[in-house]
Amino acid sequence: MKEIDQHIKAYYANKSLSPQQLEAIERGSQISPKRNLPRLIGAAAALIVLALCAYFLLIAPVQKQDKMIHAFSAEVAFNHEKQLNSDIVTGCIGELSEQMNKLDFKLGLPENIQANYKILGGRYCSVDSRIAAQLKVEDKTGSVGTLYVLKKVEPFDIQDVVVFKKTKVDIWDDGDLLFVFANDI
Amino acid sequence: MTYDKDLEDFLNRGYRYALSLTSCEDNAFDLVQSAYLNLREKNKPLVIAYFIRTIRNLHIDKQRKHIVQLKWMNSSNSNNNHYSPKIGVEPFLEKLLAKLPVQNREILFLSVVEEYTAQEIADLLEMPRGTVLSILSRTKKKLKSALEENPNSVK
Repeated sequence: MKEIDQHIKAYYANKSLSPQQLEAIERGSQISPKRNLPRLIGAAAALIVLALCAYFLLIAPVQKQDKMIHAFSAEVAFNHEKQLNSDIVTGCIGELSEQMNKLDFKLGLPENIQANYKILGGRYCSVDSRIAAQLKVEDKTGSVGTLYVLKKVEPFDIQDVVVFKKTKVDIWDDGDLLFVFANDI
Repeated sequence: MTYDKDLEDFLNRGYRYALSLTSCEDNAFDLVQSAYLNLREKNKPLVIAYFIRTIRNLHIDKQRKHIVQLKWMNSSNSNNNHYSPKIGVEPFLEKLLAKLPVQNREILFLSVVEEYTAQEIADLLEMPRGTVLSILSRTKKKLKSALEENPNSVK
């Protein structure tokens, strides 16, 4: 077995790095900080991608939502202040629904409005370029508010209150309908 | 450790060990280079046992990532597996070593060249000492009989 050992030792003893390889190893170790550069660039790129993903997935939708609600509320407040007359004068929601047959949804009233307000009449209008029903309602004190009903197309829940000068705008969804109620403060 | 001769010896020992793992000079050089840079970057002491362990870990990583071209090497070697009576002892031994399983070649190298004890090898490779001794004995017997069959190898 000793002979085998000698052969193996001799075989490996003859194997060594060339001067060029030794130099390359030593040179490589001296510039090793540069080896980190691709890693740093990679890490920075990963962070940027992560930040962009977080923005588009988490922040952007919320910002878009806020923007949309604000625009909605501003339009409704502006319409409310104009106090336009109702085209259909009736106190019955069933009749209003029957008359306003061009709506792309079944007209209904939310419970809180039904309980506290009476209907004075209604007309077609558009909010955010979408067909909507604009209903005039009056509470027990005689204060008149405007309720907008339209089909909900937003894929997220909406529940917000926005105030524009003298007008308070409540916006909420219920099933497949979106309600926007404007009244004077 | 002083530079030049000591460092050269250190790198060459690592290179021979890497060669026992890869059986390919280019891959062995790559392993040694990577392992040495690894030690330098982490400010580790240039200790041969640590160097060998680093080379081994890098080799395993590369194998996992299918970077090591062992398959190619083995297949190219397998085309010349036939014993040639004209071949000298060293090229013949090289072919025999290349045909050995990596683990057997590694154990043989650590035992014969680096003069590790069976227990030290067992610790490094995380296997029972008895297995190391058994592999070592079997491998040497195999090499011995192969070399004895080669008339040019017997001096």
